[in-house]
Amino acid sequence: MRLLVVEDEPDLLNTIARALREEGYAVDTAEDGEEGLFKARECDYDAVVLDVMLPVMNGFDVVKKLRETKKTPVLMLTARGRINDRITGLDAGADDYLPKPFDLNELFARLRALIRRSAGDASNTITIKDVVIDVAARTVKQNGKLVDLTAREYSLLEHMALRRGKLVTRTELYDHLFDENDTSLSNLLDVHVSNLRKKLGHEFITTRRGHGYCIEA
Amino acid sequence: MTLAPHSIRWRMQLWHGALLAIVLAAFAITAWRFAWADQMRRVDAELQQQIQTMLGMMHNGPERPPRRPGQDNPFLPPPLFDDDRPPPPRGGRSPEDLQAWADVPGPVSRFFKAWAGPENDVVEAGGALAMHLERPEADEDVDQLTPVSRNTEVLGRSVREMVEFAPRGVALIAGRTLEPELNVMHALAWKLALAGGGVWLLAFFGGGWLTKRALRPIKSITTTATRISSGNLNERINVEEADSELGQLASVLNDTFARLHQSFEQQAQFTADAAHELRTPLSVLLSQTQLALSRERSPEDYRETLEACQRSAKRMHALTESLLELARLDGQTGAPKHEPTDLALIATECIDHLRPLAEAHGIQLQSDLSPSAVRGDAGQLVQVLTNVLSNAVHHSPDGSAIRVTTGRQDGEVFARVMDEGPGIAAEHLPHLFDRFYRAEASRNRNTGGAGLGLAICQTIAHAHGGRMTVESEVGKGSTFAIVLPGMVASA
Repeated sequence: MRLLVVEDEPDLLNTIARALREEGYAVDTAEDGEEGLFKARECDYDAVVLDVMLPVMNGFDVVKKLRETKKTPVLMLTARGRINDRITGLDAGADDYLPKPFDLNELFARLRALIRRSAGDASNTITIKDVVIDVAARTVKQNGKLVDLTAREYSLLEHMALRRGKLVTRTELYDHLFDENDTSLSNLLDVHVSNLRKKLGHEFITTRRGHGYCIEA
Repeated sequence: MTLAPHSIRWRMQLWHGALLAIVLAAFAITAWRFAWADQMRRVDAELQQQIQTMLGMMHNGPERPPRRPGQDNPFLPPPLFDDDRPPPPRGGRSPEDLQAWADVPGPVSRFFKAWAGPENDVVEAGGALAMHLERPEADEDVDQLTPVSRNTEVLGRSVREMVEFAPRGVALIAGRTLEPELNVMHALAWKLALAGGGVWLLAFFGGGWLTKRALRPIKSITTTATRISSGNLNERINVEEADSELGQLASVLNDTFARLHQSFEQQAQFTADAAHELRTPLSVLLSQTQLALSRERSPEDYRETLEACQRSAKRMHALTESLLELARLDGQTGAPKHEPTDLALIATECIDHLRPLAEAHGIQLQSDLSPSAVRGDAGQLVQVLTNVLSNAVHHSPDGSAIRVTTGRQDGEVFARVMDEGPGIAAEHLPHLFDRFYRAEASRNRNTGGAGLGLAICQTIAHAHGGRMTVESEVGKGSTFAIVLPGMVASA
């Protein structure tokens, strides 16, 4: 899962980015509206956390412009608690709204819900054959037994599970698993896929040679 | 429509009705009395004639020839009659004529009676009611030789009678009942009552309608004011007749409501802005601590967290200080301290204070200070100049120069700070001194505080009867100045 956080207060930006990285997300950051819009257009993020009061271009305008081309889920953060601001934000195309100051756990939960909904799922658990993925707890069980996964492996599995039955290209996987500061080589992806296969069974992930990977529903 | 006893409309209506009733009643009574007096005059004329006839008969007798003019002689005993009186009528001198008067058929009964002589013998009498008449007693105080008429009752019938006394114990009485006159007066009374009542009703309800119309704006004002007092400050009274007294009242009230609304809006905006400014550092504090506490961290992580928290706390501290400062200035009644001071001295103090910071950035502080005596609170003026100067230092590129000048111009004194910074776009200039206004929509700590510094400067300048000015051109730099009324030379 790769997220974009747009916030002009450096301390807050760092905190949110760090907290989300600890949650296992790949996180990109932007400090003003223009930079935020540029990044959000360039890359298919799983969700965008967007402040309203931003230099250069405010959050409402960023959402409006972004909606012209993309459906990326957007969570607005704002210190303005007025109902009108919430309405403006939601009407501009934001998917959710969180007033400052907020609880980090609530931010995580709302982001999970946003990503889940954008993938078309209503529930927090994904069941594929004998594997059950709990998106909220970030745990994977096979035949009722907990499977121990690293954060990267989990993210990879979750991303593919949310798109089960569909082909997921290597580029897409790479884009969603690593953030802009990540210098890992792309062959790391193969390592993570191979580890997942070892833990969940070789047939769980099928390889479409030259295209990418797929988890059959 | 309310007609409670305490409503102005009802009271006006009552007073109006009562007053009108009194006026109409007085008018009707007067009219009735005039008519009655007129009737009585006519009856009296008739009775007088009868009495004249009777007198003429009694003194001259039917056989006596009429008096001839020029017969009067001073040596003769005075005549029985005052010559001013019209001579008794020539015709109708016979007792038959007298009787004929009394016997005219119809609803009216006429009567007459005459007494004479020491035994009060009845000399003449006629009419059905004559037998019930007593000889009237002469009243000593009244001139008995003129006829006196009065209204009385005989056998339950209203009667007008005229009494006349003549010398030698002669007493005459003539009278008639008043049925036709009473009927006429009765009818007149009814007519007056009906007409008066009609006029009263018309005027009462017409007046009520007028009052209601006149008071309708008050009702509209009340309704609007009620809606406003229940919280809807957007409401305004609909002013239809701007020139009437109530229209003017409505305009005044509307102005008041508008100003009230504006100040409420400003207050709400200010509170929202203040809350907003506090929320961002609060968010940092909360999320930093929550993140740090979520698991074991390295000492470096903790240090980083604490530093971020400290920055936020400092920001909130600066913000609350500014808010308190503004609240203090807003609550300050009357003029600030009024001590003689000099902007040049104040500028020197500020420059000395900020020189280390400027030098740290390689910024040169130049000054051209000529004495500018002014009255005011030196502490607050230092605050203004420090604020403007530190803004200039923060926005100036390293190695540039800032120029501070003070002086007098057109009877005003000024302190001016000129920088070579990036300048401010024209669209921001009008709002620069607004509370919480920032040229950049950012509350990034690099670009400074909460947007209250210049607002505080403006408040202080206004309290001193002066103003803040700004000129700026993007790319060339900005010039901020405080302009204050100069001290009068003699003071």
